[in-house]
Amino acid sequence: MSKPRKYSSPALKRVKARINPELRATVKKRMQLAVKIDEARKAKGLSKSELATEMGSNNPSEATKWLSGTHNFTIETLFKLEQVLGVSLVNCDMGKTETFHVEIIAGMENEGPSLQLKRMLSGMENSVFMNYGNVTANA
Amino acid sequence: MTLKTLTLELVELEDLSGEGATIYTLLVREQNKTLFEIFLDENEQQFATEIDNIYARIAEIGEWAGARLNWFKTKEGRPGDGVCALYDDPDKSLRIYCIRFGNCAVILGGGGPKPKDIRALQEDSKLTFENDIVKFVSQEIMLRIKNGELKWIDDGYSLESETGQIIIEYTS
Repeated sequence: MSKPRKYSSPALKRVKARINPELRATVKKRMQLAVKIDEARKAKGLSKSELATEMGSNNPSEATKWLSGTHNFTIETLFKLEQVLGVSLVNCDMGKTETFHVEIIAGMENEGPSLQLKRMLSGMENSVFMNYGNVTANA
Repeated sequence: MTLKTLTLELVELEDLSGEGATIYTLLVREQNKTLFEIFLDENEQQFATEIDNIYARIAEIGEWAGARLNWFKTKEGRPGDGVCALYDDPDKSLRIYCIRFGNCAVILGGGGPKPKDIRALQEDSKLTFENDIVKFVSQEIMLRIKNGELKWIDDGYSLESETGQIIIEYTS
């Protein structure tokens, strides 16, 4: 027993190469958002038409559209979905600080990463603690 | 009325299959092109943006998303035959038919523009033709699985046959 053969063609490669990476990223985000909404819907035990009703729509096909991975949501719809489903769909969190511990070893000045770091922190080499934007570097 | 026979070979699209799902289509031997390529050829000039969007969605399905029911418009064939269309909004122009096998595999068929002034696909001869092919292929595959000629392996991600070649003769 064996599997059907794999197939490609110059025409298929051409379409693949033509797809804009931004389009791929948008399509991916939309599908990820739809999966997140659908998983939250299931966790809440709501059918698609119940979700539409909870959202104030009397048209069950609205929910089908939201879950299709193609829908261009308004912010209002996303905020309402967050309330109905009790999940975060739009991250508006501000002021989050990422902290990195960076160690520079003497004698490695010519190494790639440390050279880049030196350039980044130029003029600050006497500091022990240095803040670089929202990145805290402990050198 | 002239009868037309198409020799269709099931092939896996290597550019689109992945961990999400296996993406198959049918190679029309008489034209040396797959139904998916014919769909792209026929529509990419007039509906380039939609074609790119359809390709990108199928690529995501193959790569990670799997063939979740939500990505498709169901009930495009007979009850239980898995025939569906990739989800399209009413304002979109193109429809592509497929056969969905759970979340693991999809066979892409052909399709075409959906005229805005029809209620059912039977009113459009091109869509009816493409839908008939997909329905016929679905029936054949179900029959061959029942007969033991074909079986699903790899947890439902791959079909296999005695020779590896799955040929279906379709007469319209």
